[in-house]
Amino acid sequence: MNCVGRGIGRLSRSARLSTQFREDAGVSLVELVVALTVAVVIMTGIANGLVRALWVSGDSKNREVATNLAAAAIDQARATTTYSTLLGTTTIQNVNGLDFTILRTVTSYLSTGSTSPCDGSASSFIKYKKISIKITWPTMPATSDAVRAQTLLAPNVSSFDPSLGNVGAKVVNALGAPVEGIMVTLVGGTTNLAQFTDSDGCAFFDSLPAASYAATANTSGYVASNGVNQPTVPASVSAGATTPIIFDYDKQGSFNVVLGDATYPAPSSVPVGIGNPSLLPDGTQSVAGTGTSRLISNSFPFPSGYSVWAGSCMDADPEGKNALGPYHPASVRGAAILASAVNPPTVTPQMAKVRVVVLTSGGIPLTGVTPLVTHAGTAPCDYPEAFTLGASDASGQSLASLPWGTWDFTVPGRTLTAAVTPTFHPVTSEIYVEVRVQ
Amino acid sequence: MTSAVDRLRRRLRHCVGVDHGLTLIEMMVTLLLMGIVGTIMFASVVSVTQTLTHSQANSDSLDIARIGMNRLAKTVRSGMSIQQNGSADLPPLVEISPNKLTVYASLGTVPAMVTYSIDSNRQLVENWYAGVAASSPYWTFSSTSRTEVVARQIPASAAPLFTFLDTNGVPIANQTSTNVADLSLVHGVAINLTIDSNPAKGGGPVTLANTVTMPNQGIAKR
Repeated sequence: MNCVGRGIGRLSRSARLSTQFREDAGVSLVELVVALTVAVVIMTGIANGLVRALWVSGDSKNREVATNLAAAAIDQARATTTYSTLLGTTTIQNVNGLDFTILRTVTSYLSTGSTSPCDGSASSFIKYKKISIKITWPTMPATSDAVRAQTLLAPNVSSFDPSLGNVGAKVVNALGAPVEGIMVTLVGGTTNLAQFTDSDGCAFFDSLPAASYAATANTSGYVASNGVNQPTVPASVSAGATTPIIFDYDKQGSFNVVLGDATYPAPSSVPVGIGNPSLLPDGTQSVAGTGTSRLISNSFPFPSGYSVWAGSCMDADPEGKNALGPYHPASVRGAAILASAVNPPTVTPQMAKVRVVVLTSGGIPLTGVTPLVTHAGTAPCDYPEAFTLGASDASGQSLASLPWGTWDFTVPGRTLTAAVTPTFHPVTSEIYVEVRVQ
Repeated sequence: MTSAVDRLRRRLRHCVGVDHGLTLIEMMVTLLLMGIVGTIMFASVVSVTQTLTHSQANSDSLDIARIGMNRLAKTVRSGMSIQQNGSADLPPLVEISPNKLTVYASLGTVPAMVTYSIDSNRQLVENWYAGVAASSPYWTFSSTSRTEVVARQIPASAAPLFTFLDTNGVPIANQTSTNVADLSLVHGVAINLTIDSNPAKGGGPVTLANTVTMPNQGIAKR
């Protein structure tokens, strides 16, 4: 035991020299530990192999079950007698205690041979439908493929009724790419159908009587480019034609807006104006709210982003204009900001830094009075804007951040010696406003 | 040479000393370690055996179910009506019950009447009554059948093998019938084949489910 560290060397030497003399020193602890480690490694490998074999056996069983379910789903689809209402469905069937999800998607192919029926010409008709079955189950590993089956179904003769028409509803996101899995409903007369868009962003409704319909895209967490969560588009179907409609529909984005700063606090109820040329009707919108730090949510993620400013009046927009021309010549909006669903960015729009001084007619500062500012001038406002500023300090001063535009300054309970209605044009420096009361 | 061996022997003797044998502690440690290794080996051998048995039983059940289901689905899918002289055509199904089905199937050069049933040994048995080639003017079928077991080890507790569905996929009212009025309603057959090839081995039963419609309900004319 004195030379434990040299055990292995000793073993080999003793083997070589065994003809000359015997050395029976037994097996050292180190040798045992090494042997044990090797045994554990081998056994771990065997255990892994066994687990894998078991898994493969279970997976093969589930695949066989899924294959049978897929065959049944294909049989069921082919046996349909109402070709036009053969739409996508999701059903769940329990076999061997496991829930198998059977997803059926139906894609229509048009006579014009376009890849998606929503991209076809108005006069095209359905040539055939592709029924795709996809079967998944909870224990299926994410890396393996689902069981799939497909069949083509040619329409029966009555499907070519020249008095019927179709609606092809295409859903695209902010980048113009198709969006899959959006539910589109079509309502009109006695018709009330719902379909999910396929991988081409297409929901195709065929064999519809000629009439007026309303198509609505409806998926939680999405917003249309006009800010509506469930946009509705009218679709007028005429006999023998396909009516194309398009939804601009994408995941809701949001961004943070910080108004004013610690030195020049903004009134808490200032609305926020946002601008993007695609916004209806005039490329701008106003969002009411309270607090100086706000989250503007439910915004369509335009790739060109949003310009943000404080205030809801036309002259609060640095690029606002009326028929006579811009309110703030040569002024431009701040850099646009992208609305994001994942990581909302923050923007601090530039505002007028105002130092209001309230004096008596004799020039003595008035302490503890709260000036009231009301939007003035001819520019229209989306929301009425009148804000009470902070109380004046010992030198009669009150600091505030206000939207651009024309404002009327008053002091409640006091009469001014002269009206004070300055217009703030976008500048970075402080603006001095003197209010004299009688 | 001798001097070299002597030198080596001296060095070794200095290091190892003479052969003192094993101490009690060394022996106990060795015994303990061998015990641990032995236990682990024994446990893993048992586990491997169990796993393989389990997996084999499961795989057997699956194979049996797969073959049986293929046979059932193929025959039912090719079900067809038989034209009759002066009376309504016979529907594809002749007899239905939860564990028995007789169908006219268009398989091969002549149609056949095929019966599937579960016998007392819990085996799925196929009875094949071939169409009589000389039958005139309409098809008749042999009175003797070719019998074949297409699946075995169907547990007594298994769900009904057949469920008969109408055109809407809804089970028809009379699931046991030989009445033409009931048989004419059947448009599809839901098949639930459960196999437990070796219950003692604990592989668990395997169920395959399929719904077969009869798209070729054409009429076999002569």
